[in-house]
Amino acid sequence: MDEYLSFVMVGHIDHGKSTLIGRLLYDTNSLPEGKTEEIKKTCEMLGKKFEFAYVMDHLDEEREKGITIETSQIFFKNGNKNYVIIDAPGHKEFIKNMLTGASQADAAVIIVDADEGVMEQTTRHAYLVNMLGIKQIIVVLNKMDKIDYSQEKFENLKNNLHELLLKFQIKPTYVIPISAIEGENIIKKSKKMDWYSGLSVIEALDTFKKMVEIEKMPLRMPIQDVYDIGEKIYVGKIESGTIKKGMEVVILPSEETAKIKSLELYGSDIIEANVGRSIGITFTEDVNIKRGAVICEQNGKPEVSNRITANIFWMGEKPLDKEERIIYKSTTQEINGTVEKIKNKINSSSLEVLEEESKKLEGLEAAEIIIKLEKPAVFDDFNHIPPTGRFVIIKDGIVQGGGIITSRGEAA
Amino acid sequence: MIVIVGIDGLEYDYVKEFNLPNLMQRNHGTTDLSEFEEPRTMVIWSSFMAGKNLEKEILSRKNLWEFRLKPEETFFSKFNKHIAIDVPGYTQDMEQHNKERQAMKDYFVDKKISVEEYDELVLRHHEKIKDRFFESLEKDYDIVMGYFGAADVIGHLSFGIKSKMKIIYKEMDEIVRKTSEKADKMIVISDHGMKAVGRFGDHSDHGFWSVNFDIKLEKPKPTEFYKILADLQ
Repeated sequence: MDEYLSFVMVGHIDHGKSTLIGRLLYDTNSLPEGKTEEIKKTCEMLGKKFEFAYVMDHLDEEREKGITIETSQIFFKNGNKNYVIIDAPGHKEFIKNMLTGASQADAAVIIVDADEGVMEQTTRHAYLVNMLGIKQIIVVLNKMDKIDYSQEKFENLKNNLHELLLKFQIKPTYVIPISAIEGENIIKKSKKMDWYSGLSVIEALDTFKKMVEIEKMPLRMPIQDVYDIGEKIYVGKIESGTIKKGMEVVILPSEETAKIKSLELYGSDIIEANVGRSIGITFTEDVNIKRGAVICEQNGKPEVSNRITANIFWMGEKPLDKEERIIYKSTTQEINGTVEKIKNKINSSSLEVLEEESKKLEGLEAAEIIIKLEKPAVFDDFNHIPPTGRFVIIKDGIVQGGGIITSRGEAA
Repeated sequence: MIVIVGIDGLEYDYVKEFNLPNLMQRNHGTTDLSEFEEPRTMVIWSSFMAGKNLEKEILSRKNLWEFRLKPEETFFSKFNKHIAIDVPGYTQDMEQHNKERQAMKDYFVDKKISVEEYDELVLRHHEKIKDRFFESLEKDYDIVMGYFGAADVIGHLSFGIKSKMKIIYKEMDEIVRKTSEKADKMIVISDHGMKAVGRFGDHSDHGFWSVNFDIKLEKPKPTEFYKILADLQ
């Protein structure tokens, strides 16, 4: 399978996200022929400029019909490098995707309207990008055409932005002045901004690498189900590392050890399986495993604790209260717990610290929390192994918040 | 000046989904078409202008497209200086209308023309109507009604291609934005909306209305606007 560099494209509404995605696809010849031409002609007949945002509308339609595009993912290619843009139709969906791990991004493109400057959602998204440990960041200052491609205005905005992002130790890898609508500095360097000597957007993306080589990390295979068909088959998805026939593994949280007898993929026996595969396994010994247990290798074991410290982002309409009972869900583990502590609560729009110790977390606020669980959970530090380092909080039966685990929780 | 922007086939759901603030104006909603057997263009526009349901009368004719109201039968008679541009049942350019109907037949039945050729025929006429409409807004009329058919006529072949329809809807939104600079009171109204049938479009069972003034309307019938307009005089 080809390797894809995945990146999220984030920005305030109307700052030109759709136009930039449309432009990237169009200029890299990644669009299906046909309807785009029909749309282009309609624009021409009405004497209107073809807007690249229409390309996104078209992709949305395809997505709705489930024809060519997988949910939330837009693939394109430049030269021999493959990309996938992780996109979500709305603000909430985006946050949810980022936090639930539906999207694991290697990089982020933060788009800011050069005319309007940083807006509410820009800071919120930048905060989330940082929280999720994405270090390869391009900030594009879009709509430079609206400010006459002014170097002075670009430099001022760039300085303001640096100041703001530094509050959260975010250091963009590149800050690029662009006009998505005019195609300036997207693929080729802009002649209208000859004062800019840096890379174009695609050139900058080309320098990025996959963030975590998850296949080289220690094995984590959370068990999803157990089938008893004479012999017990344990089914799950490999979230990191590799599993091999004959391998000695440890099953957490019970700490049982066992040897892999066989691996099964789509009904065939295999000797090895890598990250991303959903497989069935059998053991040479009798083991007592239930859904939620995690198969790990002996070296580089995850943490096991009934208390975790995490950074969370709350999306619920009702607040999350201290001492409130919640369900913690990470991979296939679902454990009842209580919010023990809410610390360093911040407003995700202004990035202002609201309270050092708090009794509740309102919608769109973020904080550091300690959760006490009724049973031990198996987890990793998010920065080490992301899939087993992220979780969501279920309240009233729905996902209302999510976060990343920073460490084993200290006692309150 | 009172201005009515009549937009054939403008679908409420698309206006909301595309978030078009000018089309929505201060108050907006859907119209109640339940009194009509079917949402027919000629019947609804004529009934709208006459303030009464003309379905039976129009359908009793051999060719319903030949139906023509007299000025005194419409709300225009309540105003001194008025103009209605290309409105079905009153001032519609029948030559263009026949060309469009023929083009639809050429596309569906005889497969003689492409979607692009069809669209071009419709949008060329649209540009002409738009020019006449904006010229009228510069004059001293008490009431101006412009009728724009493109959303419906193009919608019949392309309503299922949302991205394409968005361009047409944004064009309508821009027309209303420009009109709002001249109009004291404005009503935007459609005869019916549309629903997608594959890539094509068929009439839906509700229309769209919006106004730039305060009025309490739940789900008005098209015929109710006769009195509203008379009261605005």
